[in-house]
Amino acid sequence: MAREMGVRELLARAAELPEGDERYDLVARAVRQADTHQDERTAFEARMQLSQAATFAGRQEEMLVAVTWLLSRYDARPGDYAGFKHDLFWQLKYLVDNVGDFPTIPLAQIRALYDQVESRFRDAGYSLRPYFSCRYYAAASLGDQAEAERYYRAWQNAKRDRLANCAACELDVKVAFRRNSGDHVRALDLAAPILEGRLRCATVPIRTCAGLLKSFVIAGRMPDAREWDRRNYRLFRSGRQHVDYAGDHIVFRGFSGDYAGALRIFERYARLALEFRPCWTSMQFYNAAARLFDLLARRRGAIKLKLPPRHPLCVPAGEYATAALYEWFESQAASIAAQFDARNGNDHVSTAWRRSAAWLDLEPAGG
Amino acid sequence: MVVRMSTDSTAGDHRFQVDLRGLIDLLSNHLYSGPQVYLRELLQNGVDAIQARQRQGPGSSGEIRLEVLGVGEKTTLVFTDNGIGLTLEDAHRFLATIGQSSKRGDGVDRPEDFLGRFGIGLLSCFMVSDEIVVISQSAFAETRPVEWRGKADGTYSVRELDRAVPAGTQVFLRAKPSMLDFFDPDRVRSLVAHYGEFLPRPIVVSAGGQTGTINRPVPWADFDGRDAGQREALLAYGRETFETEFSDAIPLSSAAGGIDGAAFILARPTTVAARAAHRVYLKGMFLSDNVRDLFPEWAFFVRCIVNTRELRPTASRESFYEDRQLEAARDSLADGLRAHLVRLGRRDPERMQELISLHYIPIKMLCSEDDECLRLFADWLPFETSAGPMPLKEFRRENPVIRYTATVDQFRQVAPVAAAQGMGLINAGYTFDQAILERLAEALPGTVVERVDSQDMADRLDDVSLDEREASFRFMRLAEAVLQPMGCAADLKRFLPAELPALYAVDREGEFRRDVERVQEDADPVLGDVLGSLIEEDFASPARLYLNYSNPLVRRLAGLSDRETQRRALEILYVQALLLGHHPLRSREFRLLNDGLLACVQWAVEARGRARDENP
Repeated sequence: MAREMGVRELLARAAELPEGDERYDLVARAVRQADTHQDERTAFEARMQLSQAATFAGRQEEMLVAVTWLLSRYDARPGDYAGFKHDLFWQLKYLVDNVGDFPTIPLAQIRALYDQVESRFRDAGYSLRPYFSCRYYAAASLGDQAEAERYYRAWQNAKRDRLANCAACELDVKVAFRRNSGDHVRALDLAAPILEGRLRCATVPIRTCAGLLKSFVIAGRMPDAREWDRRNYRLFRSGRQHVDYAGDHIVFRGFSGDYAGALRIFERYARLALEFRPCWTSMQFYNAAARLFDLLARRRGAIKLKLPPRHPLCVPAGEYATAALYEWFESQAASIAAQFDARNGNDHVSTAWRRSAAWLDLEPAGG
Repeated sequence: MVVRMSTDSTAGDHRFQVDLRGLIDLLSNHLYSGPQVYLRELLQNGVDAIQARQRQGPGSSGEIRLEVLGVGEKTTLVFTDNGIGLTLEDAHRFLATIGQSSKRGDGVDRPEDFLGRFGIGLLSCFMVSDEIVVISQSAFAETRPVEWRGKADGTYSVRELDRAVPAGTQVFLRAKPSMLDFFDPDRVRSLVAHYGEFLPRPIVVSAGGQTGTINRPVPWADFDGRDAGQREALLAYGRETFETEFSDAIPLSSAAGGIDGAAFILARPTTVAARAAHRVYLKGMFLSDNVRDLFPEWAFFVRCIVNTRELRPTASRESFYEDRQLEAARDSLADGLRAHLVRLGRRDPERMQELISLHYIPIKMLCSEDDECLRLFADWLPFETSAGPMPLKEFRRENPVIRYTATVDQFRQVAPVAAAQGMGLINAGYTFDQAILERLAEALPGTVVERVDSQDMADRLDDVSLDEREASFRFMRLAEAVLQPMGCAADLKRFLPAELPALYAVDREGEFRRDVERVQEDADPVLGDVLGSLIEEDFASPARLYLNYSNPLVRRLAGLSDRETQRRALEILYVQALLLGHHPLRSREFRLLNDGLLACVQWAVEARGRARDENP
């Protein structure tokens, strides 16, 4: 164990692990090794793995760095890295998917990046289908309904090629579109193959089902919502990659009265959530926590809780005023939302959460 | 295309016509793993028929017989069961209607009793034969025996027979010339054994001049782990089946799914596999040896063989329908394995230690998810520490607080200082280690676990005295000026080991910023800008270089009046600290190193020259 493994061995060990920080750390060590001792090509291979591992470990900023490095080598020596073209473009999909999640990156820079990726795709002869679905999501989170719909249609019309997202991910986009349009019943219908377990991938069904919990409630299918909360959450790992989906389950459990369950999830992911730089994921989690503590504050003045040691409010006694917890998480979430709004030039992010949380005022009827 | 619309032009309801050959093609290419499954399907039907007969009335002992007769083109396999048999009407309904199963639940029959879908199952025989002949006598109905002949071209004939036939069913398969291999006596015997050796009905195979029962007692029947003789026998079976060495066998059972079997612990360490492949029997019939989703992820140091009476397999026969029963079964099996480990830990610590030394990675994975196991096994788990590798309990004996670094690199930076201070430190940069230590704090109240990075380490370094601070004041201001462009602050401390002139301390965010800057050096401008925006300008804890006043060189340096020498030396000490901490250098740091070394060489040469001039 004390002996340091070589690049190949580290990458091989990493490949055997499930996605998450353990895998990411091994690949990061491999990259360090490759940078120090090996040639650029080995470093290139290792960084390709790093980009992938980072994305699925919830470390999107590391993915941005890795892809930047990869592109600079690929652009400088395309002949040397021609064999990696497909894998590299796959990483570009992640790039477009995630760059908007960081509010400190100005819109102009993001658009410049989108344009560049679009040209790269066109020049390389790839279909823009996955690019369009990323743009759809980006426009939706910006609150630009018209652009969102335009890209959604463009996505549907573009042809599928080797770079297309898997069937599960594509269905997830459709389901999300319906959900975001407020058509929850249709969203649930569409999601049937995912709910029945016929379509799965690394992020589906976790991602889809977390988002549909609210749809089940609005569609009046509370027992199904509870069932899916239980089943979906079982698939979660204690990693950064599941922090935002954890938020959906926290809110649902709070709504359905399972406060103990909600708090359990909160305690599992709070430490991880705090380690994020301000971004979409951490905002989602803080929002979810705020909703939970808001619901709790109406019932209890104080609760016992395991806050992470590095949390500003953390005290050894472990008992906290629910109102104080609510205020802290609410202000954190609001502050990040404000950063997004400043970046986006509108108030969509701050108001959208408020609007979309309206369902929490419904009665959890039907069991 | 398998389905054609009827060409009958009359209006009204038509029937889909099915091209039998196309359907068989579909089945053989997409559903069945190979022609050999015809034997499995025959066995299935036979077992089901016997069961149906025994349900309706006692007085028959089920038996299945396979015979291979004839040679060459005349090779024929005869499959006989003394089950419920078919009437004329049954033959029309079930043998000639695709997909119609005699076993659809209708109140009396319980669907889960009848595996196999009779309509499809028999079709598999068309993979090896162009004509299937079925002769059957119903065990209960007062009917004459029926003979059904089906051909691969989709035609069939049914008639009643005049002669008497014992109750049950016989299936005759004339081998297709291209499929003679699948009628080879040894092959048939070994395939039938493979599929059916654990079936509860006697199966007699008569082929190649030999006749015998292929059944075997179930090796894990009544296995509770206590009988040493039985365990040895089971281990031998496990070795034979998986062709690998095992060190132990554990009984497995689950009420959900009606499961029983055994788990074999691998005798050699394994790294994480993408979920190990296990062998599963369904009601005594071999189902698959590639079932992966029945056991938890951390159980990759075992290979399991189980029989399930109730789980429902998917069409591929390599996994199960995801329903509550499967979930419950998974949980029970995981609990069983876990319980065994817990029992072992309590009863036989020595063997547990052996197991952990061999399989610490899966056990660490388990402990990172399961508090009970964590509480039980944590003390035995091996970790790398500043005092060498040791089990956690040894570390805890010497260190009331469990301090660890989250990465191997941080450990390398910090360990020498920690060691010199007599402070124990764990290198949790290995898989699952950090997760385990963090959970330990929550799972074992009273355990103090502290994550330490180089910055935290630095907080424990000693301050210099007031006089020493005064004496080195100008030197430190120079240090700050030199290091500021590097995004690094400077501090003067005293620490052990005295040989270490400086310690570079940076946290994860700081390392990330260094990475970003390095990558920006060659980056495409669009991406470079994006990365730049990602790093917050106002950064709480930049990197720091702690100069060690306990180090004689640093003290001398601080006392020099020559600013140029001090500056160069500081630059080199900075780069040296980076290198010691395994931080990849940024371009300007390479330049510092380059210029600094050259300057040193120059000084050395000049100094030598002067010395020679003064001492010719």
